[in-house]
Amino acid sequence: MLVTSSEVIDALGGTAALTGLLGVGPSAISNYRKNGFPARAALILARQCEQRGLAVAPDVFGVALPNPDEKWRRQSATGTTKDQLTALIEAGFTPCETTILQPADPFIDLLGEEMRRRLFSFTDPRGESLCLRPDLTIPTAQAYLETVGSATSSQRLCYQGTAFRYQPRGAGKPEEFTQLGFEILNGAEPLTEEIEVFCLTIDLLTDLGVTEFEVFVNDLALFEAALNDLELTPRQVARLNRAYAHGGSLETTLKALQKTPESKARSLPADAPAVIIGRDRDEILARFEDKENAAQATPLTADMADTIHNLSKVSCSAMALEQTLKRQGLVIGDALAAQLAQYEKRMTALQQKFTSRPANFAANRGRKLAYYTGFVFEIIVPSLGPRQTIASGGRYDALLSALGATKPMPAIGAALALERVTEAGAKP
Amino acid sequence: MSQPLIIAVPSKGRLEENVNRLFAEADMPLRRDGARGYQGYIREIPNIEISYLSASEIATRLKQGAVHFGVTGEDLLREEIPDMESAIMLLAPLGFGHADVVVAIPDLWIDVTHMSDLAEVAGDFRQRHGQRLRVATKYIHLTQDFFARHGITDYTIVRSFGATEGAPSSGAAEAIVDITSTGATLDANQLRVPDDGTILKSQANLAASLTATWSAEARAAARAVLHRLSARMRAQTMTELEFSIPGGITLDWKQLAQDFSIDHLGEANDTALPQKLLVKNKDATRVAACLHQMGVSHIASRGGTFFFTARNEIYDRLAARLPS
Repeated sequence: MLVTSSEVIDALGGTAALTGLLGVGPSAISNYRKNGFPARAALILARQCEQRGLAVAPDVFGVALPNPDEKWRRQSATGTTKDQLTALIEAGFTPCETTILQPADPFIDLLGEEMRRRLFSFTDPRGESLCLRPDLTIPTAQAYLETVGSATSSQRLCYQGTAFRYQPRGAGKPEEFTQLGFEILNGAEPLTEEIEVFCLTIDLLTDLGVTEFEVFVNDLALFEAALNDLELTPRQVARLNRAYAHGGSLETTLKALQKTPESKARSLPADAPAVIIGRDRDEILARFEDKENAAQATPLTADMADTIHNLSKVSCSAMALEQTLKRQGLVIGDALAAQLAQYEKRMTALQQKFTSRPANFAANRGRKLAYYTGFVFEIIVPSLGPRQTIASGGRYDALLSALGATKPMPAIGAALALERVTEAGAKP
Repeated sequence: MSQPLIIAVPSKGRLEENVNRLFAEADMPLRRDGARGYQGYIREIPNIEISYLSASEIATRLKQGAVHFGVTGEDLLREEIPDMESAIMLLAPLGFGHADVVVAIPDLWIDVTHMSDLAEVAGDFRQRHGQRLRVATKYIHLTQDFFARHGITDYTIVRSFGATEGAPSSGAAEAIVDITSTGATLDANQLRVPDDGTILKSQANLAASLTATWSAEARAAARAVLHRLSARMRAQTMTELEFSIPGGITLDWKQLAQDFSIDHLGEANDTALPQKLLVKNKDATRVAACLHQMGVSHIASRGGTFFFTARNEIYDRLAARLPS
């Protein structure tokens, strides 16, 4: 049974064969792999599959049949997920329950571009904007802030519950699934906690019968540090870092920064009001002058843009990051050196957990959720295809402030996608 | 029972007038059942039902496959139909109903000249003012896509059902996304479009539904409608040039075809006959100048009511995407 658009494409002979069959370019096929088939392609391909006797899950071609077997399309087999909280409670975490229905605003703010498109959101009869929680980290962080108030004590919370993410047809991922997770909020010992969270994730997976997996790590603070070492204006650093951390298009931003900003001689009329449609006159003037000054400054060079682009694409063995960066010709400045030292220390401590396979560093991991700020990791079982990410976690030091904490509160946590873990554990 | 071709056209306003004119000129006037009726037919072609609907409903009906053809603005099609390319097919822009969908910001925000500025201001706005930048519009999807493409995340959409340009001055929003044709309304409301703030240059389009059921009758009727319509539209944009090639001269057709889009009427190789070329209106004088240089002394030009072709290019394009 072919259950994803990608599997159908490969079964029919791959990208090249389909470009001929459908009369579209390879980029379209790659979109179909990601987003599922549009109606026209679905019709043609459904017929092809029928002729060749290929069995395809009905939802791949967008035909929703009232067949009980097709339930997994929207919903994971949640019955298989027993309560797994005991292990976490033993590890010193307190269970925390949050509601499925959540105010939409915090999620819209804190999710990256791609995740935001996955949000089930709607308006209640009173006009309030609500959503089904797409993960449990944000609600748990909010619950923490509500219970501790302005106190500054650290807390260790854990949860198991359903989360919801829209999936395009043929994506091969259920839209309703179970997360088992734990968070250390407002902790005091970053490195120790990072090691603990990572190791606990691996232990949980091992206990649940998953022994074969790959580890991907990244540290979002490295990118920011590297930017700070380059000769960039604060504004350029802010824009690049934002594009990177929010999973937006770094390429678009790089292209924009290579252009000389035009200077447009304009001034505000003398009688301009102090507040102009929501913005202060002074704020507008300050930003205008700042831009004028930037117009005098030199834009990003192509070399610099290349360097930054390469930084965002670094992919190597987790233990060989510094060498790889040097090999790429990056001059490692003070900020990056300090961050790299942190990274090395962490990796050395984690090395013992990289069981059968070595870990990989990938600078593009952890960009889907805008709230991650530092160390992030993903545990992958490639044989699960579209459902290969079975667990992920990381540091999110800015989330609590974004949710209203009055002082900076570091935090780190991880979550397992339980149905995927079960699926991975069942594989021989 | 025959399943007719259903064509949805706007039920009122300038769009309706323009559609009426176009179909009348293409020798298949739309006949409405009573001046205020919502049904109609075309006497010249059998198996056609005209359905008079509001412009935005036409988009929805096309998406659902409840009508085969529809005439409405590209802005509405793109707004109302997510994944437009797979649900409908744009057959031909019709040359009327021009309007740009644009982002407009207060003119006095002199620091904002590009969408990248708006991205920065939006990020900053929230920190400074404790609420997200508000964008008033009825084009929710177009706005979301365009803003996402420009990396703008810190904003919120305020639904607007009319007089959108007034939203900033009334305090309902800071920026808007709306249609404009001359920009006069924007000026009057002290709004300005950032240099790269045009989302879509829209005009009325003839669109076909790919999700509708296309019976043999509907296809035959569609082919007939498109035959007349494309002949008429070709005549509006093309000019015929007629001339003879003086003896002893060989025309460099290749060169001409490289520089201009040219259709031969009749035999190009038979130099004894008068030559007839179909060229774009805007190219006519330049093609004539080229021909002069190549030695042609006299060239007559004429326009026509129709330029018919046996090959029904638009229909073929549509047929290729319909299930066989």
